[in-house]
Amino acid sequence: MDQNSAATEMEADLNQARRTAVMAHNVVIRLRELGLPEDLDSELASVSTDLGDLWGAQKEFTDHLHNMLKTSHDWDSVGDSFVDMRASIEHIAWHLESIREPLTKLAEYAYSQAHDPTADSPPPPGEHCCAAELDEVLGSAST
Amino acid sequence: MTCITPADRVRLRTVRLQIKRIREHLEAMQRDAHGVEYAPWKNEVDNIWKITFENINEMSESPQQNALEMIREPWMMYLSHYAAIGAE
Repeated sequence: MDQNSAATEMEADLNQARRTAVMAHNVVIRLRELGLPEDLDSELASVSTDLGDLWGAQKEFTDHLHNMLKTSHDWDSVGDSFVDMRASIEHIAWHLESIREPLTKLAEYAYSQAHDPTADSPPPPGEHCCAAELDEVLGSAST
Repeated sequence: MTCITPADRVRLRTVRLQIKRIREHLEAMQRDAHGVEYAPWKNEVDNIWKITFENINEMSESPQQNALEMIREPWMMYLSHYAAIGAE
Protein backbone atom coordinates (compact mmCIF):
# COMPACT_ATOMS: atom_id res chain seq x y z
CA MET A 1 0.00 0.00 0.00
CA ASP A 2 1.44 3.39 -0.90
CA GLN A 3 1.74 6.20 1.62
CA ASN A 4 -0.95 8.38 0.05
CA SER A 5 -3.68 5.74 0.15
CA ALA A 6 -2.69 4.85 3.72
CA ALA A 7 -2.96 8.51 4.73
CA THR A 8 -6.39 8.95 3.12
CA GLU A 9 -7.71 5.77 4.65
CA MET A 10 -6.53 6.85 8.11
CA GLU A 11 -7.97 10.36 8.05
CA ALA A 12 -10.10 11.08 11.07
CA ASP A 13 -13.82 10.95 10.32
CA LEU A 14 -14.75 14.25 11.95
CA ASN A 15 -18.34 14.07 10.75
CA GLN A 16 -18.82 10.76 12.50
CA ALA A 17 -17.05 12.20 15.56
CA ARG A 18 -19.60 15.05 15.62
CA ARG A 19 -22.48 12.60 15.28
CA THR A 20 -21.09 10.58 18.19
CA ALA A 21 -20.86 13.75 20.28
CA VAL A 22 -24.45 14.69 19.36
CA MET A 23 -25.63 11.24 20.42
CA ALA A 24 -23.80 11.50 23.76
CA HIS A 25 -25.16 15.01 24.34
CA ASN A 26 -28.70 13.88 23.64
CA VAL A 27 -28.38 11.19 26.30
CA VAL A 28 -27.41 13.95 28.77
CA ILE A 29 -30.30 16.17 27.69
CA ARG A 30 -32.88 13.40 27.85
CA LEU A 31 -31.86 12.30 31.34
CA ARG A 32 -31.80 15.91 32.54
CA GLU A 33 -35.32 16.33 31.12
CA LEU A 34 -36.36 13.27 33.07
CA GLY A 35 -35.08 14.93 36.24
CA LEU A 36 -31.98 12.87 36.97
CA PRO A 37 -30.51 14.36 40.16
CA GLU A 38 -27.12 16.09 40.09
CA ASP A 39 -25.57 13.58 42.47
CA LEU A 40 -25.68 11.14 39.54
CA ASP A 41 -23.79 13.55 37.25
CA SER A 42 -20.65 11.44 37.26
CA GLU A 43 -22.62 8.35 36.15
CA LEU A 44 -24.47 10.44 33.58
CA ALA A 45 -21.19 11.77 32.15
CA SER A 46 -19.74 8.31 31.78
CA VAL A 47 -22.87 6.64 30.42
CA SER A 48 -23.56 9.37 27.86
CA THR A 49 -20.08 9.25 26.32
CA ASP A 50 -19.90 5.44 26.51
CA LEU A 51 -23.25 5.07 24.76
CA GLY A 52 -22.36 7.66 22.12
CA ASP A 53 -19.04 6.01 21.41
CA LEU A 54 -20.46 2.48 21.42
CA TRP A 55 -23.05 3.64 18.91
CA GLY A 56 -20.29 5.00 16.66
CA ALA A 57 -17.96 2.05 17.26
CA GLN A 58 -20.45 -0.60 16.18
CA LYS A 59 -20.87 1.23 12.88
CA GLU A 60 -17.11 1.42 12.45
CA PHE A 61 -16.73 -2.30 13.21
CA THR A 62 -19.42 -3.16 10.66
CA ASP A 63 -17.59 -1.10 8.02
CA HIS A 64 -14.32 -2.95 8.72
CA LEU A 65 -16.04 -6.32 8.47
CA HIS A 66 -17.63 -5.33 5.17
CA ASN A 67 -14.26 -4.13 3.89
CA MET A 68 -12.70 -7.49 4.68
CA LEU A 69 -15.49 -9.41 3.01
CA LYS A 70 -16.06 -7.19 -0.02
CA THR A 71 -12.88 -5.34 -0.89
CA SER A 72 -9.87 -7.24 0.43
CA HIS A 73 -8.00 -8.58 -2.59
CA ASP A 74 -4.69 -9.75 -1.09
CA TRP A 75 -3.16 -10.76 2.22
CA ASP A 76 -1.98 -7.19 2.87
CA SER A 77 -5.51 -5.84 2.82
CA VAL A 78 -6.82 -8.81 4.82
CA GLY A 79 -4.18 -8.05 7.47
CA ASP A 80 -5.21 -4.37 7.45
CA SER A 81 -8.87 -5.32 7.93
CA PHE A 82 -8.01 -7.61 10.84
CA VAL A 83 -5.98 -4.91 12.59
CA ASP A 84 -8.80 -2.41 12.01
CA MET A 85 -11.34 -4.85 13.48
CA ARG A 86 -9.05 -5.56 16.43
CA ALA A 87 -8.75 -1.84 17.16
CA SER A 88 -12.54 -1.44 17.00
CA ILE A 89 -13.07 -4.42 19.29
CA GLU A 90 -10.57 -3.05 21.83
CA HIS A 91 -12.33 0.32 21.69
CA ILE A 92 -15.69 -1.34 22.30
CA ALA A 93 -14.21 -3.45 25.13
CA TRP A 94 -12.92 -0.32 26.86
CA HIS A 95 -16.41 1.17 26.83
CA LEU A 96 -18.05 -2.07 27.94
CA GLU A 97 -15.86 -2.05 31.03
CA SER A 98 -16.42 1.66 31.61
CA ILE A 99 -20.21 1.63 31.26
CA ARG A 100 -21.13 -1.44 33.32
CA GLU A 101 -21.25 0.12 36.80
CA PRO A 102 -22.69 3.57 36.03
CA LEU A 103 -25.34 2.08 33.75
CA THR A 104 -26.41 -0.25 36.56
CA LYS A 105 -26.70 2.72 38.94
CA LEU A 106 -28.83 4.67 36.46
CA ALA A 107 -31.03 1.64 35.84
CA GLU A 108 -31.57 1.25 39.59
CA TYR A 109 -32.42 4.94 39.88
CA ALA A 110 -34.91 4.65 37.00
CA TYR A 111 -36.66 1.70 38.65
CA SER A 112 -36.72 3.50 42.00
CA GLN A 113 -38.55 6.40 40.33
CA ALA A 114 -40.90 4.07 38.48
CA HIS A 115 -42.07 2.72 41.82
CA ASP A 116 -42.29 6.13 43.53
CA PRO A 117 -45.91 7.38 43.43
CA THR A 118 -44.74 10.94 44.18
CA ALA A 119 -42.36 11.09 41.22
CA ASP A 120 -43.39 13.29 38.26
CA SER A 121 -44.35 11.68 34.97
CA PRO A 122 -41.48 11.99 32.50
CA PRO A 123 -41.88 14.56 29.71
CA PRO A 124 -42.23 13.17 26.17
CA PRO A 125 -38.94 12.78 24.30
CA GLY A 126 -37.86 14.77 21.27
CA GLU A 127 -38.92 18.33 22.14
CA HIS A 128 -35.67 19.80 23.41
CA CYS A 129 -33.29 22.18 21.64
CA CYS A 130 -31.10 19.42 20.12
CA ALA A 131 -33.94 17.19 18.91
CA ALA A 132 -33.57 18.22 15.27
CA GLU A 133 -29.84 17.54 15.39
CA LEU A 134 -30.54 14.08 16.83
CA ASP A 135 -33.07 13.34 14.08
CA GLU A 136 -30.41 14.27 11.53
CA VAL A 137 -27.88 11.93 13.16
CA LEU A 138 -30.34 9.05 13.35
CA GLY A 139 -31.38 9.69 9.75
CA SER A 140 -27.81 9.57 8.51
CA ALA A 141 -27.18 6.36 10.48
CA SER A 142 -30.09 4.53 8.90
CA THR A 143 -29.13 5.36 5.30
CA MET B 1 9.58 -0.46 5.54
CA THR B 2 10.77 -3.56 3.66
CA CYS B 3 12.07 -5.52 6.68
CA ILE B 4 9.30 -4.73 9.14
CA THR B 5 8.03 -7.82 10.99
CA PRO B 6 4.35 -8.81 10.93
CA ALA B 7 4.11 -8.03 14.66
CA ASP B 8 5.47 -4.52 14.08
CA ARG B 9 3.09 -4.02 11.14
CA VAL B 10 0.21 -4.76 13.50
CA ARG B 11 1.63 -2.30 16.05
CA LEU B 12 2.30 0.41 13.47
CA ARG B 13 -1.17 0.24 11.95
CA THR B 14 -2.66 0.16 15.45
CA VAL B 15 -0.79 3.36 16.31
CA ARG B 16 -2.19 4.97 13.13
CA LEU B 17 -5.69 3.94 14.14
CA GLN B 18 -5.17 5.25 17.66
CA ILE B 19 -4.05 8.65 16.36
CA LYS B 20 -7.13 8.72 14.14
CA ARG B 21 -9.33 7.91 17.15
CA ILE B 22 -7.64 10.57 19.25
CA ARG B 23 -8.35 13.21 16.57
CA GLU B 24 -11.99 12.14 16.47
CA HIS B 25 -12.33 12.25 20.25
CA LEU B 26 -10.73 15.69 20.38
CA GLU B 27 -13.47 16.85 18.00
CA ALA B 28 -16.06 15.55 20.48
CA MET B 29 -14.21 17.19 23.39
CA GLN B 30 -14.16 20.55 21.64
CA ARG B 31 -17.88 20.33 21.09
CA ASP B 32 -18.59 19.65 24.76
CA ALA B 33 -15.82 21.64 26.40
CA HIS B 34 -18.18 22.87 29.14
CA GLY B 35 -20.43 19.85 29.40
CA VAL B 36 -20.38 16.82 31.69
CA GLU B 37 -19.10 14.80 28.74
CA TYR B 38 -15.72 16.56 28.65
CA ALA B 39 -14.04 14.62 31.48
CA PRO B 40 -14.91 11.13 30.18
CA TRP B 41 -13.80 12.05 26.65
CA LYS B 42 -10.50 13.32 28.03
CA ASN B 43 -10.06 10.27 30.24
CA GLU B 44 -10.46 8.05 27.20
CA VAL B 45 -8.03 10.09 25.11
CA ASP B 46 -5.45 9.92 27.92
CA ASN B 47 -5.90 6.14 27.97
CA ILE B 48 -5.48 5.88 24.18
CA TRP B 49 -2.24 7.87 24.43
CA LYS B 50 -1.01 5.48 27.13
CA ILE B 51 -1.75 2.42 24.97
CA THR B 52 -0.18 4.14 21.96
CA PHE B 53 3.08 4.67 23.80
CA GLU B 54 3.02 1.07 25.05
CA ASN B 55 2.64 -0.08 21.44
CA ILE B 56 5.51 2.10 20.27
CA ASN B 57 7.70 0.89 23.13
CA GLU B 58 7.33 -2.71 21.92
CA MET B 59 8.44 -1.93 18.35
CA SER B 60 11.87 -2.52 16.91
CA GLU B 61 13.94 0.51 16.01
CA SER B 62 12.93 1.31 12.43
CA PRO B 63 9.12 1.18 12.79
CA GLN B 64 9.49 2.86 16.17
CA GLN B 65 11.10 5.87 14.46
CA ASN B 66 8.22 5.95 11.97
CA ALA B 67 5.66 5.76 14.75
CA LEU B 68 7.34 8.48 16.80
CA GLU B 69 7.38 10.75 13.76
CA MET B 70 3.70 9.94 13.17
CA ILE B 71 2.62 10.93 16.67
CA ARG B 72 4.91 13.96 17.08
CA GLU B 73 2.52 16.64 15.82
CA PRO B 74 -0.69 15.34 17.49
CA TRP B 75 1.15 14.65 20.76
CA MET B 76 2.65 18.16 20.90
CA MET B 77 -0.73 19.66 20.06
CA TYR B 78 -2.39 17.58 22.76
CA LEU B 79 0.18 18.58 25.37
CA SER B 80 -0.14 22.26 24.56
CA HIS B 81 -3.96 22.37 24.41
CA TYR B 82 -5.27 19.70 26.74
CA ALA B 83 -2.70 18.31 29.19
CA ALA B 84 -2.68 21.44 31.36
CA ILE B 85 -6.48 21.50 31.62
CA GLY B 86 -6.52 18.08 33.25
CA ALA B 87 -3.92 19.19 35.79
CA GLU B 88 -5.96 22.16 36.98
